[in-house]
Amino acid sequence: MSSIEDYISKYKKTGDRKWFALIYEQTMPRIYRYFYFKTMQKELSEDLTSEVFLRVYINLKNTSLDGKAFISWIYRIAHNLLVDHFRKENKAGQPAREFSDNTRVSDEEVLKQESSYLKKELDLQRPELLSAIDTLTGLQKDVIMLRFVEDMDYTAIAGIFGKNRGTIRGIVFRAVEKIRKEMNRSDG
Amino acid sequence: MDRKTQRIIDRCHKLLENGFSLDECLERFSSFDREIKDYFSIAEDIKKLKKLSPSKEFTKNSLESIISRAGSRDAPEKIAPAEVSPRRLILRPAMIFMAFIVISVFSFAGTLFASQESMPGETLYPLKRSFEQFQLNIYPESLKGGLHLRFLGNRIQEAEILLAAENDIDPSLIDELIVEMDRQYWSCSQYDCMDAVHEDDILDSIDSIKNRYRSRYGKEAGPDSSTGHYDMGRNGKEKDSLNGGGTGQGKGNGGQGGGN
Repeated sequence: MSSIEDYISKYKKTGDRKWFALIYEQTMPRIYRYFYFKTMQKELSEDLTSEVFLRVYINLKNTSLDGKAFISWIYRIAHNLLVDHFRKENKAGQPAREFSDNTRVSDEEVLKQESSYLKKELDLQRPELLSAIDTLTGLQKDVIMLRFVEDMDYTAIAGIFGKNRGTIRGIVFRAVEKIRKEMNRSDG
Repeated sequence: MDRKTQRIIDRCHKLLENGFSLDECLERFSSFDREIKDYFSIAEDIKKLKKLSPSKEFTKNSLESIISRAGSRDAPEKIAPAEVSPRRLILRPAMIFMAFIVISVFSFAGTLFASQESMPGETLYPLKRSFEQFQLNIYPESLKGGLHLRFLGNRIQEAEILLAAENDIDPSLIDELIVEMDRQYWSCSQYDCMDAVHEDDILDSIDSIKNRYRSRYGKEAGPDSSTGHYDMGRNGKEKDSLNGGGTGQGKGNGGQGGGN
């Protein structure tokens, strides 16, 4: 089975769109999930996903990325785009949902709207998981999502956020501990 | 969660990656049973988010839309060249040319200034001599005598420095200076550039240099007399005087007989 590395190399060599389509097919759902996890809004996540791949399409040929570096690069684009999005939203007078490494990005209202859809869609055994995740900071959410949903190792995640491996490992354990406590409180 | 628990969980992660089951991990680290279960139960729940996917419509159409948007975003950049005003088109080369001229002039002036302190055998010395020649070409006749006198002074000073040097000096350098001294002295005298006292001092210096050259290198400076070299030192002046029926006595012989 061909890997994303092969697709990238073939696309850069030939410029044939069919290779870009395969890259897109493999990576687009991951980026969509990243945005959805952060915004809890389907349409916004789709728009932002499109914008990420537009940038990838324009710039990929001029890069010297292999498979792993490509994944880090694409998540960095997504992360930066989300930061820009929330900055613009704040400037436009939307309710303040400041985005930084230490702030939450989804709010109660949005979460309520989406939770029933998620419970049904994801078949969660413990629906309170979503509320617990929502108590995490922006960076904790990013890291948790990349670690458990996208199965990325600490080193790869560290590369995306420009932090060291130990820091990312610490963030994962603190986030899981926080989720556990939140869920126990809900149970209690 | 303490550090030890974190390490155990990391080891469980490794075991799972290597094909072991969670039960095997729990068995191996039974004292951490509750912590491991809690952690992996939360991790499994979060993993369910993998099921999240964009709408079918988005999945179907988004790539085409991205490619067409990319085309329209590229187009203006390729078609519209950066506009440059005509004034700027003219000014830019003119400014580059002016900068080039200014830099060249300053560089040359700096080099010329530095060359004035140079000595025979050094890289900049030919420039110093060329500049002297240039001055002789452009100065009016009334000032040329003064220039010859100054250049004569320069040659005497250079020869004195070379002769005083303790390390080995190429004799041809001093030889060439002596020839040049004679030439400058002769040219200077054509313009009546010095009074008698001044002239005596200069002739003393020239003779002293020639004598030291002779005693150090065991030969006369410049081409020998048979080749037509003119000797404008005191000895030469005496020769001229003798030829012309003059007194014939003097401080000649390298200034040795000045007191007689």
